Amino acid sequence: MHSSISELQFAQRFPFSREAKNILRENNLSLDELPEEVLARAEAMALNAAKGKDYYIELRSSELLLQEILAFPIAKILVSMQKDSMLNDKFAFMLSKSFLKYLDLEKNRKDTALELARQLGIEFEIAADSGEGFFVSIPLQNFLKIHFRRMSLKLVNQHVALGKVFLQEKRFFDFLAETILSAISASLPVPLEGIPNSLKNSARQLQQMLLASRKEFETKISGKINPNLFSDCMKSMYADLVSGKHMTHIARFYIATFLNSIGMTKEQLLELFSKQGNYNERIARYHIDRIVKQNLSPPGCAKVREAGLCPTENCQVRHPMSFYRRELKALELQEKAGRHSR
Amino acid sequence: MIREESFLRKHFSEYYKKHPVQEPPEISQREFGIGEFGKKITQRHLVFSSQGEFNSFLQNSVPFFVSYSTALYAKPGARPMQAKEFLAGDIVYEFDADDIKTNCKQLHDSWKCPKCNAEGKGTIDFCTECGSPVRKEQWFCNECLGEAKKQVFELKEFLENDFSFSEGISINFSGSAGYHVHLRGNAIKQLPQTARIELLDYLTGNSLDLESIGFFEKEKALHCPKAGSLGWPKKILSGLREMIETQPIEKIAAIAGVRLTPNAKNFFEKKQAILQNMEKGVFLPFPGKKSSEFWRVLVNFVFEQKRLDIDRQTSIDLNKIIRVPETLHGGTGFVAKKISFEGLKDFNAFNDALASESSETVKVLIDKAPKFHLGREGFGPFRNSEAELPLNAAVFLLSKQKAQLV
Repeated sequence: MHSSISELQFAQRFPFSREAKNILRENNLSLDELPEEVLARAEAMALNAAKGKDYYIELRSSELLLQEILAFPIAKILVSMQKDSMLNDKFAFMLSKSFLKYLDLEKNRKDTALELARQLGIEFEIAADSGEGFFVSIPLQNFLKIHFRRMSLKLVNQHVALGKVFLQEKRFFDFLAETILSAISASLPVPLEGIPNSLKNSARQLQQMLLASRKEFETKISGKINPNLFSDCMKSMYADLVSGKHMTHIARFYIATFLNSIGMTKEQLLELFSKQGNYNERIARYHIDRIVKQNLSPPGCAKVREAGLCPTENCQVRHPMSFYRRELKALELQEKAGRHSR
Repeated sequence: MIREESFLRKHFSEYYKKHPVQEPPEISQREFGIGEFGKKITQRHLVFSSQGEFNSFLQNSVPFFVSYSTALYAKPGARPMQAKEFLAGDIVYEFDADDIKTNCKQLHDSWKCPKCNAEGKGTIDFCTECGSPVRKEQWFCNECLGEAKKQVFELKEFLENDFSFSEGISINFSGSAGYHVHLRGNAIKQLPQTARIELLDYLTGNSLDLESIGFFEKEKALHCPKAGSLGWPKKILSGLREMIETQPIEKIAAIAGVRLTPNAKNFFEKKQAILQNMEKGVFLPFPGKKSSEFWRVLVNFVFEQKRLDIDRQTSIDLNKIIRVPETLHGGTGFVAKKISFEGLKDFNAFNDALASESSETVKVLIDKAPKFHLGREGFGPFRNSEAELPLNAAVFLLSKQKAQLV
């Protein structure tokens, strides 16, 4: 049975939908005889995800649409073969962003969104008009199942009453995007038994490209530490540490992982922590040893915020580490420019 | 302090013999921790298969502090934590009077700098003379406990009206400066940590984004959510409405930090217009250039009044252990008394959480203590003085390590 252009378009835009799964079933794609074009599209999807780029493409040819639809499960295999949970997240995030863009192209956005919500198993009720323009209500328990990345979806920023979360249209679309992100994340990695060599080669090539782009990021910062260039959260935790103010376990852990990542030595760390009122060298040494040995990553902004350690309203920093790197680089350039002008 | 420790242990032992503890529910799936004189936790990973076994332990070992895990585990005694196999978890919201700003702290709290020996009244973190961290002397009274109690009532509103959580809620006095609210209903048992953080952020207003909930500036006017809004927008709007309807204009002007000029007075007289505009989703412009700023200050003030001060770690840490209700607090000698919502209003820790009914008196030498009330009697203030006190008062000071037996 051949699908119409509009059916193919729907499936390409929403590759996690029932319609897309039906088309995949009908085409009975064999991994051993994978068309080159499909593999190329899958590689492009995976690479875009790795680079944090958007993946958004408007097509009208049935052939190209079908290639895109078939490429989605292959891209999931390629991503899974990297055995990198961060890449899994990036891939899911890219598709959730694409979902919002594609939804904008739909003639009946609301109906499409509601249909996809049903397919994703979201429990909802159409909301009665309250003057605030609510579109749907979702039981609180269901709303809380999703771990949100978008700050606008935090429960504190929703209209909540009697165990229900009332969402306006735009917020509901964002909620759907997060549900999609969560569902795709949960579906990764896919089982990898019986993967043919052609795909293994593709995965290897992708891995090399990823390694090259990551090398720069993973280099540990060396040189003198400059706390003036820390993000506000790290600055505030560092100030507490230096002044001997009592810090929670999580704040101690976060500042220690951060300071280790920017090159502070174990002994310097111990000296700083010795100012804490309940300092116990044996315990402190154990924790710091673990952080240094395993090179535990410093927290991202979401974790800092969750722990209530972000002191800045509407903070624009994306990661304390990348912020510090950028600031260091900017200072270096400034100093170079200063030296040249002298 | 060996004599004092033995004296208190004997007193605690008598309490446990007379008052079997019927807490916590699902006892065999919980991890327990105990503490000794002056130390809240000295041992963890203890397991009790039944209430009977737990009570014989209390009567025989007589710990000074007893805590239990809010989580239920398949193997509660296993180590490390991952080996316990998490099954489900309660949520406990802890309200600690020490964390709430009250005027009474100036009367009963004090600090001393270990470096330069400077000292003073109230609660501060760093020495006003040399900037070093100070040693704090924290006490609590009915006023600060009253503030914590108010927050428990406000939490009840949140739980019922916003979350619709009604089953499995129980409250107890912490045994010291606050209250614990335990949520053990099926609705919350399986919530992941991320969901627990969302609930806590909602209650404490953490990460509230005013623009995102409908307070935004457009064409120099500050807009607000319309009537019909729910959650935090509704709370803030109703708080503002109440302030405008009931508070004198002098007080509102003081909160907003504006002078009561004739124009400002004229503005405040238009109460109905202000309220009608708010219904439609816009704030009536305050005269002058800083209209948006005026409204923002009031919005933030109301928000600060409505947000709850809950101890963050207690409510989101799935490995947390917390005092078992109806056991004794080794730092005060008080019972961590269970209280119904109905009984909370009249609950007075200094009368209702006392462990002994004995009329015995005890001679003690008191190092330093502010004035306090216990069992409808007033005591102190004391400084290096000897006194013969009723048993409960002596236990209170000995547990706080502010007195010695004579």
